[in-house]
Amino acid sequence: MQRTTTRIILGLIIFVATQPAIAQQKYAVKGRITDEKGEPLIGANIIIKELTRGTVTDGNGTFNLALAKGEYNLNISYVGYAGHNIKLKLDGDKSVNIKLKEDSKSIESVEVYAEAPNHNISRMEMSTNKLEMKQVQKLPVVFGEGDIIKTLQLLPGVISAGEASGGFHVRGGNVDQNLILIDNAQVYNASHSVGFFSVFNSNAIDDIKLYKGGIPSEFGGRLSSVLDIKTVDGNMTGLAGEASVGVISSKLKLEGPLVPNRVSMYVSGRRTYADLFLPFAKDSMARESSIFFYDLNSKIKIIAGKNDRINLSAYYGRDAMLLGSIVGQKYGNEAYTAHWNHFFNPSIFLNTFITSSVYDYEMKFSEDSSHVKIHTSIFDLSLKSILTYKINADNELRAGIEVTRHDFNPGHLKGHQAEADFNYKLPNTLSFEYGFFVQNQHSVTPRLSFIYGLRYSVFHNIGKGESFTYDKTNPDDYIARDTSFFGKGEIYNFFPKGIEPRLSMRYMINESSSLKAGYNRIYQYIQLASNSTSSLPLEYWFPSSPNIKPQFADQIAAGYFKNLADNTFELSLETFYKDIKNTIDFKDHANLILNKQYEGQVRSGRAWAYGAEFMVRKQKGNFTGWVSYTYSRVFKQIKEINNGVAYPASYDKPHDIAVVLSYDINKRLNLSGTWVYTSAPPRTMPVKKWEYAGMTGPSYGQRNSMRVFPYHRMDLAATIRLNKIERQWEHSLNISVYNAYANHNYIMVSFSEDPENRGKTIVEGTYLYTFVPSVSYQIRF
Amino acid sequence: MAKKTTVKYMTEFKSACKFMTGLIVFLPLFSCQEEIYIDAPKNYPDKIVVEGRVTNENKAHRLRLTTTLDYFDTNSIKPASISYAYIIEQGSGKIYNLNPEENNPEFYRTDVFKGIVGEHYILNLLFNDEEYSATTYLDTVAVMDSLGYVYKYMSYWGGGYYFIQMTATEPEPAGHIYMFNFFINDTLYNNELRLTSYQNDELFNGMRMENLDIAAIPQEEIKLDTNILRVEMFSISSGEFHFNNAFLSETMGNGSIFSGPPADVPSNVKNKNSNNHGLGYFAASSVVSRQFMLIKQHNEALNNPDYRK
Repeated sequence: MQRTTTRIILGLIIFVATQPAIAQQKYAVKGRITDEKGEPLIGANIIIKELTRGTVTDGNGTFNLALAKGEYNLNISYVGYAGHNIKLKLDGDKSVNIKLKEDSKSIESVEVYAEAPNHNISRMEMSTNKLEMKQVQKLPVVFGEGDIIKTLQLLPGVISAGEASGGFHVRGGNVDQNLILIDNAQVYNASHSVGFFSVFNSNAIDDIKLYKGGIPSEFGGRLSSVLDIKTVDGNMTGLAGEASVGVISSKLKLEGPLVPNRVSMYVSGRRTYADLFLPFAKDSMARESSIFFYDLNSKIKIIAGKNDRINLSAYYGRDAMLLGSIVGQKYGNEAYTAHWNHFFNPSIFLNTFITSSVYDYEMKFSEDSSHVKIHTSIFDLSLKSILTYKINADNELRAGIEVTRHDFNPGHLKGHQAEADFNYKLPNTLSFEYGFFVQNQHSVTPRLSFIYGLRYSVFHNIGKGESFTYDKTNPDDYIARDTSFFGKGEIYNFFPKGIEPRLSMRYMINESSSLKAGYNRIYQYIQLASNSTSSLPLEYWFPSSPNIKPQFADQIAAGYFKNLADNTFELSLETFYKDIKNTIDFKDHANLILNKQYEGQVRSGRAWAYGAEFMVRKQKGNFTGWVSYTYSRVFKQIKEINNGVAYPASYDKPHDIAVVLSYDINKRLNLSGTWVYTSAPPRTMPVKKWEYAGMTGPSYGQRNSMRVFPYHRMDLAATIRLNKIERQWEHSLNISVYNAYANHNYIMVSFSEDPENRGKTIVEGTYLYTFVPSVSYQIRF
Repeated sequence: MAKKTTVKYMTEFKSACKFMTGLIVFLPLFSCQEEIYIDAPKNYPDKIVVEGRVTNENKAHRLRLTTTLDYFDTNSIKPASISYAYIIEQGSGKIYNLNPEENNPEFYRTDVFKGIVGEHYILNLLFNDEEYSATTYLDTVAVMDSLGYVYKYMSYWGGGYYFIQMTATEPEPAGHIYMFNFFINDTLYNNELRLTSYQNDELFNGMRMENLDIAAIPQEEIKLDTNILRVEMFSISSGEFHFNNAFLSETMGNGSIFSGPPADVPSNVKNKNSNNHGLGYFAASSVVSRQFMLIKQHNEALNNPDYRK
């Protein structure tokens, strides 16, 4: 199967190489759209009036069209800029470079789409969602803090990991199977305050794209999705800013030129201050505690010449939680990117990224003269380079390489007690991950197009390190029998078989409907040591190794897309099936903290997921929003778990519904609301009780065989612009209510013996927020 | 000293991690808890529960054999109705029958015998027409040389504690685990498993363990200059150690979003013909014991910095 698919892909690539000869029947129109300073305009529309079709510019402001001989009118438009018309007499290949003038009035008076009105029908990718920040900021969320991850969870195929978790599940994938990138640098823990907020400050974000399937070959390393987030560029001409003050957090963003029209910078930061209110809490422990987070985003953009752009961007975020002076924990992400964009000519350009990512966690515990702390971390250094070649109007080839160095620190305990220091460190592990990729975006006919590509991934572990050999006679308890030690720089494990075909197909039935299908195989070489139903900051990442085979997934998906009423309504229906080999789970009662032999706690097997996603979306008019419904299932089968019987994964939530509505009453007042419903997750429940050594314990039924309480919630919000719409600056007020009908959504259900009545067992549910109102004030200039 | 502290703090730290992460969610500002009612499934077959150990003491060995109840059943635990039960000493082939005690129907006892270090003992029984078997190993125990204590006020735990300290010589080879029972004037203090403490030889193999903290007993439990504290040290198998840890994690704090998926505690009581295994643990141990009185003057001296110098 793998070999056949590889041959098909290679055949298609060879087919593409012969395309220039066939394509000569048409003439190429290449071009670049920029602003007056030469900055590329991304997503500008180029409409051919005579054909009522067109294209949009890519990330470098370039476009490519193939047209038959004739005369054409090209209508070029971009939000915030005056439109432009070109008459073109085409009797050979043409190159067109256009500068658009800024037009501030057009922002207020003209509704311009960043993409073609039927982009959802015509774009070649499938299983992809784009989010607009404007939409994210309108939606109500907890404590009035607009949140990208929470908004993503309202889309079909994306299911929340729970109220106290920032994680999400895509098409039956676990939370560690999502590749989360900010300016191409990886983010390992995308949540603040144990999931109450995401690490993405909406002020700093420009573009959000989630790939659930048909994942392009330039991405790899995660089985289920890619969340690709781009931050904003600073203003090249003048100083601008934005500030907001909320119930528990405030934000500030400033941007402007360092060297006018050549170097710009923005910096954005936010901090929560719930800790300021804790001294007023009733509970004494809460009074002595402190809980807050802050994060900073910054970017410097340099126009280094006619053909070169350099972006230097940084994210830094920290969480701190302290209980008096006794226990404290700190954790955070750092992500740094240096991006060089070079144009060889309008058809060939190169993007090179050097990125660095750090996630680290520290917990400390102090008692009198004793103190102890644990530290875990992962540190990545990565180089990625992508060459784009617009072969002709129908083919765009992308090829490149990616190399990542992973440095894992699974646990380091040190401290001081009774006049003695102690130090216990699990050995760091070092690994390298390589990806070589090629992909072609090919319009075979105006109706039929393909994206086909191949990624070849390789992974190896490198010393200094050690590896245990386990006696697996007892499936409940693997025993380390032997240890192998490896010197510095010694490669002691190698996975060379990561052949990953990728394919997407689009067939336009007509201008308002299309069929799409896709297939991808992806390998994943690193995973999270997580055994809980929620993600914890303490969890650490660990690599594939002689004891842990890499996971890989095959996904097929198909969909029907239809627009109605002049693209006012978008309908989509997608189905998928995913098969995961070497999926991991952990043995019953696994011990993952500070365990040198944590690999002995891992069990592997197979997982599979399937489902259907339905969405109706209204994009135009004062009344917008969407309704999405996802039916999906995900099962695991691992020989040593649940007696080898297949069981639903802990995140198997068959029904997921989201209703998102937004209504502009006038230009100054917007009302919005969301309602979500998710099936109860499966849980292992006690069915019997028994006594041992003076205590009463539970005996369980099959793993994840019962469901108790579904999750549902309604949120409401109003955004009021406080000054007149004609003013250059803006200030507004956002009032929102989270969980408006105060449903008790249990984040945990615990079973225990009633302490006041021995022998009686009770069940208790813990829930977080009920009816949380919040207010935030925002000013933008 | 450093090794001793490392082991102690690894254990404490794992508890602290669970406590801390749990506390984040339990911050009173954010969370509420309420009793809820669910329908637990019925018609699951009852399981046999085994509790008891063979030791190297010359005595009649007792086993407690009971059955499970439905989870929300408010009746008392029932004795198991056993068709037969006996223990085989693997090396010698000797069989020790287990007979029910007259006034304690859930307890069964053998004739007097002394377990042999290095032997495997196999429990066989028939319950509900199904055959069960449990195998255990009687390991050697360290020599307990002396006992002592220090007093500490633990603000994190909210009170004063007597830290019981043991000096012992640990035998080769590696892999020994020890469990401790504490009797205050012949009354078992750790009458629930959660109060029992353990020590493994991961960092002490073949060495002398000096003044190792083996328990922290609240000061109100012991009267200085009055109470006699007797400490029993048992050798236990890694299987029993894992069983006890798993039992505690299932009974104390399971169901948290931060805990792993709940699962039956891994027992060594296996059904010979199906996956319907038993619960509990059939154990074997070597035992040594010492006793001493906690003397006030000694406590004051040990906790006086000048004395330490």
